[in-house]
Amino acid sequence: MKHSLEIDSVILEFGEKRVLSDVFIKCETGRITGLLGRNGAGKTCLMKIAHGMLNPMNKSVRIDGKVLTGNQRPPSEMMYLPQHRFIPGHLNLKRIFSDFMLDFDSLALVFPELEKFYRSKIGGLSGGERRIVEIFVIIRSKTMFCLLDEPFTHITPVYLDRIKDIIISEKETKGILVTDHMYRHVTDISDDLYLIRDGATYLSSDPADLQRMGYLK
Amino acid sequence: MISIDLNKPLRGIRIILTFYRSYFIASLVISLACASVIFANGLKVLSGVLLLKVVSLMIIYFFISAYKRPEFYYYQNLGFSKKRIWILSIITDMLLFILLLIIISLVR
Repeated sequence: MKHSLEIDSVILEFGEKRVLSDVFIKCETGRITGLLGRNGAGKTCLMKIAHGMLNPMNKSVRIDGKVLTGNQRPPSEMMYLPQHRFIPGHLNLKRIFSDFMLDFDSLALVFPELEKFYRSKIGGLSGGERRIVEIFVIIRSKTMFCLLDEPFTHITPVYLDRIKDIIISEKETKGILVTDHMYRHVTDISDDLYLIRDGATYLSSDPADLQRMGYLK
Repeated sequence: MISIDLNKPLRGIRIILTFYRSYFIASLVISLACASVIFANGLKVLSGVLLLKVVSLMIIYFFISAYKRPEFYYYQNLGFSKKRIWILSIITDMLLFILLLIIISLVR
């Protein structure tokens, strides 16, 4: 079944500074929506607003036209990969996959290098390995939408293509919103691309837009 | 025959206990201190002991909220908002605390 996530009417201010004011983003099942912008443009804030973890002055977040209120998003509707590590370090991979109701073998199939860590605490893994586990459990979970904040940063190049393949394969069943400063990876996999500048979002239809809008030199 | 799926509630309890673990030791030390005061002085100091427990929980709340902030995304992604996981873990803690006080009162 196809679902759509829409975010608009967002007004976010920090003190006197208006961060977001003219936003419209649409994300649909079967499509990867990229979100680019300079540091401090409000990409992470926008994801947190969609996920309900940040309450701006005004917002409208809708799934299939139904307005989402409050700060609780059921995992069946939306999952969020924050840009920093978020899984408690004392949990082992067996337990993490059980919590997310996922089969560890599906990870070992794509990343055989991680198979030996089944009973290891995630805190004992390297930063990159830990990030792969975090991305995997979010992207593979049963949900309508995945919000991925910097999934490519801290990942070894040899793993990047596999991560991108997983994201592309998962879009068959969910909508994916992704942002990362490694913009080429974002543009590679995105079906739709938005650029945030001066608090507003712009739908980009041409890679040259990124230059015109001042994101690239 | 009616079959009951216990996996979902058991998973929920396990997730709450995972979070509770992050402040269990600190809370246990406070609870044991409160229990020892009750043991020495009886239930006449109960109100003071309860106040100590509540104040210590408030300090734990602010400390864990700041120190473990990124981990709240883990619980949120599993269906437990920050508010919900706190309420459920504090209920667990208070039930254990009350049980401890009842046992101490009976032993005394």
